[in-house]
Amino acid sequence: MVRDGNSNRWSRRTILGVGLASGAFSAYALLCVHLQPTRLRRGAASEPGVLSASEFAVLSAVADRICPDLGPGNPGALALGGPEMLTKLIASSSAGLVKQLKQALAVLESPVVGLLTGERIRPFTQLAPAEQDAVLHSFRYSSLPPKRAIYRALRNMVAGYYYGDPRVWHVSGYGGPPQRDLLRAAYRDQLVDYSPLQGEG
Amino acid sequence: MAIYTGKMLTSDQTISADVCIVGSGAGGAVVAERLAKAGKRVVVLEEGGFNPSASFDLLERNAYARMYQDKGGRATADGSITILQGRGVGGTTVVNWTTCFRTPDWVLDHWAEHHGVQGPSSEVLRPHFESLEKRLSVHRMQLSQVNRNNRVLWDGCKALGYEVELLQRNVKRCAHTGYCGMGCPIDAKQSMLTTLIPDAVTAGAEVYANAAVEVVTGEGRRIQKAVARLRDPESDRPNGITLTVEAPLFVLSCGGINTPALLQRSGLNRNGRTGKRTFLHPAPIVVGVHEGLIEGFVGSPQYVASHAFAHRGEGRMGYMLEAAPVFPAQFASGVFSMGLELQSQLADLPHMSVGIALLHDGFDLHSPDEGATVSLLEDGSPQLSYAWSARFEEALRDAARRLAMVQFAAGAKSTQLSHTRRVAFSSPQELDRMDRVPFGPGAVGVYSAHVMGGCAMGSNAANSVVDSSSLRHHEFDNLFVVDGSVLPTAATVNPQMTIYGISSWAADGLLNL
Repeated sequence: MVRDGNSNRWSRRTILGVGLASGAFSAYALLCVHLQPTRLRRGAASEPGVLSASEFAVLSAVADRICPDLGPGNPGALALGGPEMLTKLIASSSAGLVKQLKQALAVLESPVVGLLTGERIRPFTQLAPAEQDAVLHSFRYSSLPPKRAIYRALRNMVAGYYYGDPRVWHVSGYGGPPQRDLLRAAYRDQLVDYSPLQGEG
Repeated sequence: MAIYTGKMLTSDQTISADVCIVGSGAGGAVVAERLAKAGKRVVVLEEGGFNPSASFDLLERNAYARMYQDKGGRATADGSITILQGRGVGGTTVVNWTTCFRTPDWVLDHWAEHHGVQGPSSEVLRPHFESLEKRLSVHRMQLSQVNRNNRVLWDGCKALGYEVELLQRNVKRCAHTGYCGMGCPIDAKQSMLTTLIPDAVTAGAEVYANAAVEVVTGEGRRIQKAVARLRDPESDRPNGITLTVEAPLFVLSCGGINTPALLQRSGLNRNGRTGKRTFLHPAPIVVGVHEGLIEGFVGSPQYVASHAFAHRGEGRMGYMLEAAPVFPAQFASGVFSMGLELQSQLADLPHMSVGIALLHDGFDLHSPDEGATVSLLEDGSPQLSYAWSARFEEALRDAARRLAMVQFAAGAKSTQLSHTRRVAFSSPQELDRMDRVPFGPGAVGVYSAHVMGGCAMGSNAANSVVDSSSLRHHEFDNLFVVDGSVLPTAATVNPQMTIYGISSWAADGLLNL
């Protein structure tokens, strides 16, 4: 027996449309996202033309729960400018991936999706932190592949970027890379000189 | 000639060449060097950037964003398999872990017997391996060099009586810093970026970085042009400039996933096999937490490997055991936890040893569409879906069990799997629970750093994409595919040498056209 990991041909591309409900429902969910006011993060800045203010607010809320402020010496993703940096990263991604991400944020935010699954009646951004955690965990442990995929995609992106920040390396006992310039000086005899190979504009 | 970047052209251009190579990794660089040295006018189009070692800052997040496909976030459509695949001049060879194995004879024999492969055999490939190993300084590691992370695998295998060996790497005066995955800062890694690309350019090849080929077009049985959209090197966003290359010969070397995607975008998939049978060496990971420091971020990523489970009997998928480096962003993005739970896991990082098992996908003779399938998103970018089978899940479970046994045998105080719901064991006796642990899609995180197949070579035009005697596309007289996508199964070992060898052999054929 062969099972397709993407049974029903679902994918991140069709995160909204397949698995959760029908295409009509998806459209309705998206509509509701726009109808319900999204609580914007104060001072939120978005890369022009990439994420809307609403989408940026959802991304910020997710980042705040995946990597929250855990007290002195442990700044959260928001304090480190995670959403802004991720938005820049997203800006250079393929149109297909950006669309998937926007859909993932819309589904997470949608109160209709929450209502249908019996979890909540308010948009994600309007929930208390503990409620947001509960929603994210419901996506993490969902029996529906699209919901798990949404959690996986958003979580990996946020956590990977956050823990790559030198300001939180101490959390993992990682001391950072060796001093690159000293290394290069010590091995300068084997460095490839590309200057004769580089073209001019 | 030169290496150009996306900002060096300010208006649309059409250039001509004797051969246009799309992609500059393990396949494209080998072909470019050989053909340029033979006097051909070679143009190489590379979608990623030109990132020489002077630009490597050894920061994880910058490296993943700049030098990996999808900013390091490439994954199967359901998110269950994370795929590390390079992007840039030199391709994956710039960020791989430098492990080198020749293609096992039994794999080449399997290709001949079951896939009608007529070209690359062990006899045919031997001189190519010998030559490339010399050029790329491939040599075996010493036990005294092995870092603590790999020593766990070595000691655990020895304690359990599993065969284990020191492996070969393509490095010259390696400092063993452990930053292979972020680009070698001292050019010790003999990647295509540091070897054959400079050789090719010195011999006259032109390399255009930030040139993402959208389609190849032609008429009848001939491809006439490749059309690339240039990207700004800093922002990596399209800059609106088009570069068109006209040539009598085209070689696609974009690697697994991207070569089949390019063919599909170009409408070249008449028999429906393009993108089918894409293989990943899917790898479950097992983390062992040790009392003493492991510091898996120190020392080269891989020194040892075990082939003890390559052949597990009829109907079972084999696998190979290796170690994987342990860096904070890589670890954090690979697990499933969040918040305090995630931070608590990370606190153990310096004490973690990570073992992986490369599953040998592609050998189920009863499953013609085994592995993954490449298809296109609306914008033409690729997506991948992987077919999970009972055979696959059995191998995941068995490999996880073996990896955990190895960790305990080497002194781990606990082991944990990469599952959606945390799965951990505090003693080897507890591994009896492994039979009840789910390994279906969504339950477990699986990882891949090796993309193979999708444009399988073979002798039967009905079930393969390129002719195995030349790597010529079955439907086009002047179109060749030379990269890891032509492999009809997984290589069963880290595939860079396999791709180099096959590409070198294919280059011989191209020179004799």
